Amino acid sequence: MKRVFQLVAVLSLIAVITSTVSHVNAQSTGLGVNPRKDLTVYPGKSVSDQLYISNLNKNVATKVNLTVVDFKANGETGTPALQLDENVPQTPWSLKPFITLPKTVELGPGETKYIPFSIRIPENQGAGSYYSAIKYDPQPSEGSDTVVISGAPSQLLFVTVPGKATELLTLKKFGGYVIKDDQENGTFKSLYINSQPEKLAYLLQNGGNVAENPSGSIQIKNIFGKQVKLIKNANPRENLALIDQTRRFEVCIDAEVKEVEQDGRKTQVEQCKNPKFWPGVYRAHLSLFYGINGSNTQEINATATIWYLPPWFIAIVLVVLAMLTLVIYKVRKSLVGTKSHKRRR
Amino acid sequence: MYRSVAPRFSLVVAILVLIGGIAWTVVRPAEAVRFQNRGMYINSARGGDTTYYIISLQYTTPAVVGSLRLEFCGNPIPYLDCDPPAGLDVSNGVLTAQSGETGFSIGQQTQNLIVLTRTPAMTGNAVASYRFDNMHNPNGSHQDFYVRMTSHSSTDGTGPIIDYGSVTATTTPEIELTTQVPPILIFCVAQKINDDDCTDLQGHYVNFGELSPNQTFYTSSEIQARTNAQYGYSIVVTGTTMTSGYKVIPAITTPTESFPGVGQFGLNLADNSSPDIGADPTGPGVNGNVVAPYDEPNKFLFRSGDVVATSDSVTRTRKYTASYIVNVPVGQPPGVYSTTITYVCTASF
Repeated sequence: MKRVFQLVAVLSLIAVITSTVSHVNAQSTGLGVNPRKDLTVYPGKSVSDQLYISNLNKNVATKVNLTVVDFKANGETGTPALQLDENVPQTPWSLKPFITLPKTVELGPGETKYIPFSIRIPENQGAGSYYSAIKYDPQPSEGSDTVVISGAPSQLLFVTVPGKATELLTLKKFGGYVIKDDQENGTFKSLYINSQPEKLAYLLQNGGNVAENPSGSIQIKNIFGKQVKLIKNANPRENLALIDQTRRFEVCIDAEVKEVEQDGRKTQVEQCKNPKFWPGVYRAHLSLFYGINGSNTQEINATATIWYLPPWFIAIVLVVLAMLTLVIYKVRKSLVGTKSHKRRR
Repeated sequence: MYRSVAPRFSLVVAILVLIGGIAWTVVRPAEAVRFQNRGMYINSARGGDTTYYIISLQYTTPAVVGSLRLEFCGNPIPYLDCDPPAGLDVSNGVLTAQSGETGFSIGQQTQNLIVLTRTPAMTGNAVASYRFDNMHNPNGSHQDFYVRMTSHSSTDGTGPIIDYGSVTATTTPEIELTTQVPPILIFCVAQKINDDDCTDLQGHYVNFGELSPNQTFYTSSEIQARTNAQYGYSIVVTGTTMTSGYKVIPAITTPTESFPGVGQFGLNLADNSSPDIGADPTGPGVNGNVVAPYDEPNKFLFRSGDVVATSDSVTRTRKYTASYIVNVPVGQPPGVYSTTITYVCTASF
């Protein structure tokens, strides 16, 4: 009994000493999922499909919560802004009313499962795009005295309901584009002095009810109207402009796949390369098309002007101009001299 | 003499130019314009399906039209060569219904071309539509294809173009085929990640230890992602700051250095020297990058919902090190402080 009292006393002392303590519990979760799914569902019909999920941890079983989360666009990029707060109102394009899927899934160590789910679109549902994300949340380990760090992959789910939808993309900007070092932002540019124009971009504002995936081409002509470059696919990554989003679409004038070495390992990266333009003025003609199945095809056409004037070219032009001025001056002077000479005679 | 002829000559030239201009304006060929309200409906958009198409359009120019040329291409632009979409076959297409401008029949047909012909007649304002049965979709689940349309006064789709325009369509599966190797997003978080495949994960407890106002306490965990999806991914941090019941260690909401003695909780994904913790991203997925301001060494913050890393295309394995710091002021109420930090990795679009 005495020993028990001593033990309690020691434990109490420890508790007092470590009174401001915190822990981090790194929950070892590794999951593999489909990153995105695109489906077409006609009004009044339903589709059944499967979600792929894999527990990558070969030693530990896990229980995963499946949650439907709405999302919006995050600025001009393709990064989704997940509406994770439970109090956030449902988006008008949410899939929540239409989707049925299990709330939890149990996965053994290293196990892969295909989870059935279904989407039912009511008969009177209007045509357009409906989308949400499915978040795969591994259940945290038990214990209230820890900081849990976990990783939850999520999958984007886009459903197109065919028919006469409201489709309205408005072109806000089109031209040369220079990306900043953060690879996120950049600036539109029409005059290039120190470098060649390598990238074009356009901003499209989506005022309709369809997540639009525009396609088309860009033709670049020189000052004489001759085609110097043709970008056959103006949206090579098949990016989307979400509903209410002003989306930036970027495209290389000339693209190349380059091998890059990182940490001793080689990887291939697609990059924009120097298009090797001659100095001068160029016009880029953008032709874009969009429209879902059963809706009218819409077209956007625009032209941007790009000047490429490197310093050496400006220097040559200045020298030539100076020489011309000098020649004109000399000729004029000699003519004036001849006339005055004749008059004197 | 010379002075009296000059004005007359100028007048004659001016009159000739005027007459010439009027004549050119009247007799010059009308420029082709785009069809209005053009669209296409595919009854089953699945790649490789045989189905029916309804092509609709409104003739813009009131003119005598004898043929409508429909060319199916991989690109909508008229001045580009037409590459037939792989797998598409309209050579067995049958015109089963028509409205608006009617009287057409199929006059010419190949794998990617249909020419509708009729006795030349004047067009009206109505929206015309043409239904073609037995049309075979292009292969692939997300293949864009286009119909380049032109109207002509001739009956064989040749000669001057009256109206023109393209309609766009995409093969989209109603149901994905899960038997295919799908794009995968691999994502894991742990104290230590020992391989590219997220199968060897290590570490359950990382302890800040006993907190005191005299020094900064710090620790780290690892985040790893890769995807073969062309859109790339983004990683968002969510959660709350450290709390013990109602007692709170304030989160840093703008990038700030670590100050011992000031209540602070924050993180970043950078290689820090003060305190000496963290690392730059590693691994071959070089297009995976930490997003500002979480890439700034020695500056920490925590805002739930912030994007901390992104990639813009197919990305091989990339490992990020998240460093956490905590400082407490003198008089921080004792307790066991805890929080939940979840990293959510989502495909981009």
